[in-house]
Amino acid sequence: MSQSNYRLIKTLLLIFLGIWLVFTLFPLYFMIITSLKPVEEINRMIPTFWPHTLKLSNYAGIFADPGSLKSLADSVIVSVANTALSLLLGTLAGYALARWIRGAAGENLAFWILSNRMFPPVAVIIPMFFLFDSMPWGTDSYFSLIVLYLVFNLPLATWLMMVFFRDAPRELEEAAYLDGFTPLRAFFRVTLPLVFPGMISVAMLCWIFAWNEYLFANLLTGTTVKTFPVHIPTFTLGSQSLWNLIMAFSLVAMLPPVILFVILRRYMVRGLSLGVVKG
Amino acid sequence: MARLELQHVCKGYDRPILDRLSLTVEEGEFFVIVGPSGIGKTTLLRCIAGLEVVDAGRVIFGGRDVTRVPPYRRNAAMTFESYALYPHMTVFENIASPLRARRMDEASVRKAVLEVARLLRIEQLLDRRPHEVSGGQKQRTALGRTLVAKPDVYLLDEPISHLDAKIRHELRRQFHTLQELRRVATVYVTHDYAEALSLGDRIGVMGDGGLVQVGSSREIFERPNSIFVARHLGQPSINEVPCRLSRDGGALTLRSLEGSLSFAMNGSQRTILEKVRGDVLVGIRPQHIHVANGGSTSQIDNARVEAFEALGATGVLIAETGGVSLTVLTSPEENFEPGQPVRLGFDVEQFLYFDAVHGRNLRA
Amino acid sequence: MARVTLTDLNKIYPARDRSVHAVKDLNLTVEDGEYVALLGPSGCGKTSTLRMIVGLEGITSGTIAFDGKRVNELTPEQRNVAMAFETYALYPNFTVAENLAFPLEVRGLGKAERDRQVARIAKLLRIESILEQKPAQLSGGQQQRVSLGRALIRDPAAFILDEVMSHLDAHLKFKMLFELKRIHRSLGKTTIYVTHDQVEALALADRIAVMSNAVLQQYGTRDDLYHRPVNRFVADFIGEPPTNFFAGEIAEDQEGVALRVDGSGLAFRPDASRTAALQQRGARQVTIGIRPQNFSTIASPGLQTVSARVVLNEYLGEQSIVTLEAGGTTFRALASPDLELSHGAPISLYYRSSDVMVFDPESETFIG
Repeated sequence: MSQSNYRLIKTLLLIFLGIWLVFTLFPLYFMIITSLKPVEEINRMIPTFWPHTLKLSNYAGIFADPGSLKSLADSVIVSVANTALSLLLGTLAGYALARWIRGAAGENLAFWILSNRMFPPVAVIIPMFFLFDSMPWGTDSYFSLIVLYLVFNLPLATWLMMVFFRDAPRELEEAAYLDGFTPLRAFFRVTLPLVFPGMISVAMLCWIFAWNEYLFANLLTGTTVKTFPVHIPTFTLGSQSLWNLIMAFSLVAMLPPVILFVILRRYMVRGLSLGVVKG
Repeated sequence: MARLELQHVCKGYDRPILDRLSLTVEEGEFFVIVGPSGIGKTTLLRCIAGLEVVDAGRVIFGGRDVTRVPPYRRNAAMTFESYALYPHMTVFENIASPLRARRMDEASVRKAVLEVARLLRIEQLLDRRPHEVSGGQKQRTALGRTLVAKPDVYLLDEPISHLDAKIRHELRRQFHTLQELRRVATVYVTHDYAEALSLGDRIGVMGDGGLVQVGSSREIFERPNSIFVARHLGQPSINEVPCRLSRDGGALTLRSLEGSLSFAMNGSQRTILEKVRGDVLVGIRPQHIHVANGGSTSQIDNARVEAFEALGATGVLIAETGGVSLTVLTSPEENFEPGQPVRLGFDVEQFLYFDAVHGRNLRA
Repeated sequence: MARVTLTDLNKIYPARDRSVHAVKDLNLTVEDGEYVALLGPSGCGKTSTLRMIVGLEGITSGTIAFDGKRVNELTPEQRNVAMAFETYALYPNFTVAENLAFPLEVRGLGKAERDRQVARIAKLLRIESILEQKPAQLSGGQQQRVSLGRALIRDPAAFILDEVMSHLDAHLKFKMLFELKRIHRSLGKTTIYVTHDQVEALALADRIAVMSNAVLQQYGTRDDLYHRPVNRFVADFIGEPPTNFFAGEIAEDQEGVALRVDGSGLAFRPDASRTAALQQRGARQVTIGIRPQNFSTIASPGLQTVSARVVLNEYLGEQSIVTLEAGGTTFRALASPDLELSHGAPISLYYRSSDVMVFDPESETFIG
């Protein structure tokens, strides 16, 4: 490829990326400026692209409602509990599938587990409602959401951990056996450290799903337990939605995933590519 | 007494890999198993280690039957072909691993690891991770982990096959001097016959699910019990000339089935072949054919050069005589051109004779 | 076919903390139809050089020319070089015939012509019987021949081979060495061959370029490298088993000039031309080198002698490597396998004074 050709293509790529970036980032930009606008401004027929007045007190305003803080806390409780449970059960199941299930039957079992992730969540909403309603703790409880989210997170966690365990060389465990470690000690000493980056990325994926989940949270809970997606639409004044507050609150709820992702970025990349490239 | 015994061990998957294999390695003996890739050498080692459960037979360490004992209780130590070093631990921790399994106190662990590291000259690498050291250093770390454990048997699986020629020479030398390996029984596996010949007190050639021949290096090289063994040892491979015995009058002659090569059998050669019926596969090692500049014993033939290569310390000449292509070892300084005529001398008394049907050495 | 010329070639890999200067000021010419090996330990720069010649890596500075025409800016296809890889890189869902034909198909050759070329190459490489099989069904040696065939079929200007023998076992490698030589003789193509195995390089190449640490050490025939190594690295790298080296000094005795090994009674006598070169330099300390195969256990007129004790006798079938010790210094000699030598036995070894190599202890260059 000659130099001039190369430069031309590079320029075209940059222009394309620039356009794409504007396209992707615009909603976020609009969210931010909306969250800073006073109510009058958001109701304009023609939206403004730069706030005429900055109302930072919007952010203070959302926490004036005690429900806001509670909803964030509820979200933390549900998502963290569910992630921990998914990761624990998924790791153990994944290890079993990776090491001991062979042949067509094993492959089928593993695939069936993954397939549970594939059907649309809406399909199970009615049976789930009745199931939890018949339980002593009812639908509106932490327990129902934590367990329900398992339906979607556990197959994913199991499958991914199975792939990561498959990639961890069996020889290292065997070397540990010969060193004198029982299989249990070898698992914690050798295997687990190897899949640790993978576990981090699995945890992130499970957590993000649980954190952002709206459909089931809205249908099953709302009073005793109220996660933040359920709380967002409550910022109204009569029949009007207070978009500025909604945007502000959404941005606050967005912070934890973003921060976590930045901190754990290294592990995410390593973890997600572990299953793809060998060696 | 730390003798290793294998009694009629069988192991197979869809086809048998070990078929009633029996082996005894005495205490202090360095036993080398050599054979082509894929023949089952690693499987054998894994059965001794306990990583594979044998289908039948017994494995005995120093009188203790360990056949049903899991690997973490067998007290065998193995160096894997791929080293199997723990990537998330330092060299020190890797070597210390067997001692940590035994929950040894920190001071003793330090002492033992340093001792082994000094022995293998890697004491300056103890803080590094496996991916930060070279291949030869990785191998020594793996060896260190094997040595520090003071097991009942040492198992070494192709420990130096993936290293540069120079490091291989150096490490081979170290295996010779490592007295530690003489404490109990050592089983060393390789596909490189020169390594096997150099290192083993006794060598077992593996084939057909078992050990086809066991003996000292000289024994198996100079008196192979079958053509399979003879073929596997030696670079370049032994020349194989299928022949027929013909008895005209009082003379006994071997005539090649293809072409017109013939060897007159006299004296001791004659005694060996006197009673033989059927065809004979004659094995002639390349170093027992010489480009005749005067000095050979029995037979001299005219030949034509087909190809010549100088390979390292020797020259390899492929020459055709009487319609048969033969490989000959010469000095690397020679200069043969294809088509050039040469005279070849044969050390007939060094010839090996094998049964044409079963490949058995007829001299045995 | 082409004459490949490398002039002042440099390759630097930029990195955050410390960039790697992989190839330094390389000057090399491969004549038309010549078989040249790039030889050296891993990390010496031979693979980077190869990739620059093919066009897979950019050139930091310097020129590469084919038949005098500069090719720095050309793509690999435009340069018309064909490469065979260490890992064969065969297309797994194509048959052998389809793999071989692929380069021609990409260039738009018609079916009849492609079939003809495939038949020609298959005959040359002796793979006619496996043309309809898939790579998974082939042995390592067969896969390697198909890989070579796919590179050869295009009739390129130069043929580049990158460590193609490293995954073959000893017996197969031995056979392939002869095969490659035969193929080169019949096609007569300019061939550049990269390897870390000196046995391969010495057997196959017309000339060998020995590289170390990004610098070309010596470029010459097997004979040049073996008998007139330009420095200690070359003398050490070339030679199987490895060359013996001793630290010593020049001394004079009643028989003439001797090179006395430090701390032992061993002394080697160099030949007249080396002695003259040494005296011209006024050297005192030297590094002495002599190859294990230069020793013989048989006395003969005109040979010098040393005495030592046997430490170890490694029987290797066709020969033995004897480790010897004299006054605290150990060294190695090749001997006949028939010799039964016990530990501690005294032995006399004979060598030609022309086989004694002398190096400057600091610069490590060859003297004489």
